[in-house]
Amino acid sequence: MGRPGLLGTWILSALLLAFVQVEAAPEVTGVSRLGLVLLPWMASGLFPRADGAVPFPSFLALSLPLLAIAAALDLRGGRTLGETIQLIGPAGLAWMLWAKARSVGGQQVGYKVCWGLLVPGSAALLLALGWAGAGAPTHAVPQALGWLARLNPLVWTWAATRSQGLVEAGLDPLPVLAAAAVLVVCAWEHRARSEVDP
Amino acid sequence: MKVRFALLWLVWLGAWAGPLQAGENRRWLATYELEGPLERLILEVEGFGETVWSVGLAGGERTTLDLPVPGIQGTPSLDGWASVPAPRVTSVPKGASVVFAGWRTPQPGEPFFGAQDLARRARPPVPGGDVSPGAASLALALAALVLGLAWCHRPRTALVLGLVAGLGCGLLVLTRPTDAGPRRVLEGQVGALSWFEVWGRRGRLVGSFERVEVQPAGAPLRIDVGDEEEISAPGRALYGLRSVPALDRYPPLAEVWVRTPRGEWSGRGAWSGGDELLRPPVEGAAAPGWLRGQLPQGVGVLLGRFPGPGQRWLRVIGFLERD
Repeated sequence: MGRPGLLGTWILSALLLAFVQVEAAPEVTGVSRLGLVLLPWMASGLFPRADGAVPFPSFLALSLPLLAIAAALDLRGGRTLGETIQLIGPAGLAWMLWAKARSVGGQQVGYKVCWGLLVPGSAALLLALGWAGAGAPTHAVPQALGWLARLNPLVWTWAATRSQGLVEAGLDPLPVLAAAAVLVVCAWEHRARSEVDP
Repeated sequence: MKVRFALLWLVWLGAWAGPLQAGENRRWLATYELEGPLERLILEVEGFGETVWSVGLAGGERTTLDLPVPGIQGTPSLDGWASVPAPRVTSVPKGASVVFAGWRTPQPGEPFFGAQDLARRARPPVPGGDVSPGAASLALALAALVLGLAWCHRPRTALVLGLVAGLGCGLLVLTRPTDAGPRRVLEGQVGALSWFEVWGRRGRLVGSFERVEVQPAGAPLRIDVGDEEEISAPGRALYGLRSVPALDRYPPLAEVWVRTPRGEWSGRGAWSGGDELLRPPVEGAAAPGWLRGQLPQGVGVLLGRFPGPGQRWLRVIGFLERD
């Protein structure tokens, strides 16, 4: 992602923050600002790497002021430090792991396939299952498809953004982190193999 | 006797669930017999929050206390309060002598017994300004964006800049001054011995109240009972109502509005209070809408704003202007 994409992400996350500030509806007041601001950064940070992309540290640097404002607003708005850490801890770690996998093998086909399947693919499947009324599927196929969404860091972060969202969705951070860690290992191995056997 | 009690219960239930009941009382008194050594006591009511009593008792010291708790599970039945479970107790040190002696009756916060109904009173608006980022932090974030975009191909410099700007933004939001304090409305009827005071504040109320409500309803509360009683629900609007002695003379007011028994409003500017005559009607802003709400018809009313930086207001019902 180049500078225009970076600027777009910044504007999007600032708009989300502004929306929650202005909109005082009860369903919005329980939402974590930190989670909302993090979502656009996460989504664009996972995107398969293209030539001329901004290095991840610079990408992270631009997100930090808005994330800090959102976290401080959460704390001022009643969220405890523990709740904030419960959100940013797993979400931030998953983001870093994905970013590492992306920097190591972001241009590899494997990364692009994993990204397509686990990020937009699984989110779309989850949405489709919800629309089809399979919120608690009993059949093996929708269950397996639904399980794929449990590996998606964006789905986890979105659920953690809403109060009680993780409990309602029955989500755990471990599958998300495990999937991201596996992705990093695979990207390293693939690169090592291609360096040995060009 | 049972019939009388049943009628009493029905009337109470009606008062409790009636249309004027805007919120749920979040301060109930439970009686405890305590014996030291006792350092701290935590009373927890599931779904409502907890009370932390930290006054402490020395070894062998005994006392009976009415402790406020943030809710009750269920409603009292025909048998009285027996069906309402006691709060869950945690004592420090563990195993200290703490005996639940029942719920206090009558509860001072219930409208039927004390007529202390918050729904009939003017509630001061509680600003939600506690959770706004402020211009300084937004300006810093924008400056960091411009510099970050310029230096985005120097990752280390950009990261240091982002960390410093992030820390600065976070601190600027966290250290923004909060509201000036509680908003208060003193209200009473001419000739009554006891008046009411309604306090409204976001996040925290300090003082002893007979009735407490929280908006949005259902938020867990924490009540700390020490030298003072402190009720907290971060980010939520808290309202407390308490009885105060009636004023024996009108205080100086920065701004006054008067309504005649026929319903004609007029602004009167500042007033030095006491027996002084009010100024003739002046052009100016009308009284705030929330202050004019829930007023009885057909009687004179005086509304006023106390001087000074704090937000304190006065409502006198049955006020008749001297000629």
